[in-house]
Amino acid sequence: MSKANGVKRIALIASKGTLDMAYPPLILASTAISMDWEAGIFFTFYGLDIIKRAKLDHLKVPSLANPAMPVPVPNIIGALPGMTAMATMMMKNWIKKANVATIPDLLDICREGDVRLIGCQMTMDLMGVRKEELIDGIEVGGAATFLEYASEADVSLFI
Amino acid sequence: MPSPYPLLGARAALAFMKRGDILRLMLTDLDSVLGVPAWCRMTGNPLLGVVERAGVHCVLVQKGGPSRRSLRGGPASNDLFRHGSLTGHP
Repeated sequence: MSKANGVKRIALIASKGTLDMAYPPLILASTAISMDWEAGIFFTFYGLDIIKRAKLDHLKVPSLANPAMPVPVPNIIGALPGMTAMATMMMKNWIKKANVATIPDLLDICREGDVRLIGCQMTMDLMGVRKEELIDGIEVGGAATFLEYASEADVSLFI
Repeated sequence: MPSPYPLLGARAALAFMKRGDILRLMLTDLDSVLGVPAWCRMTGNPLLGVVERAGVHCVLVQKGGPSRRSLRGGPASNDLFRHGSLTGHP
């Protein structure tokens, strides 16, 4: 159900902590901001890595069970040491070549655009993550926090 | 400049403009160009035209109603895209 004031809202769940899967929620949220929408992202489970200080610059592309990885290789090869690093390096080269915004850049845009960034409390308890390990501007909340926000959203996506 | 910067920049620029003023965007990434008609509809700023030359798309957008307005009932603004040669599509 959309809100009475007519401002559109998108509510996103970021559940994955790989470089490729960090892009969709951040691009959608920042584009929504450009259209004067409200946007919120709930970072849960591995998605929490996207907003961890120590991790966000080092997100990786998995080489295993990823038939669409930069250079498709059989899983048995993808399991070799160094393959994840290689897949990640190739993706980073593409990102650089295509002049695509980086994950830290997109996070900055989202924070400047007042995207509501919610870290999942349950995941933090589960994985022993402290709030200080997250980047600034993160609100810690639970499923109920997200559901309340999403209940008035026009678009809700789980990524 | 990669998306989403161009559309964010357009939003920022329009905030300083008056209703009826025309904003010219010079876009080099196709992603943003393709997003312009939808963006114009969603923000209520009519799209006046798009011209491509040497890989740069010149997009003219007129500042519409007050910002932060709902799009319902907003102007259908991508006629040029639908009919025009501007994107190279029929």
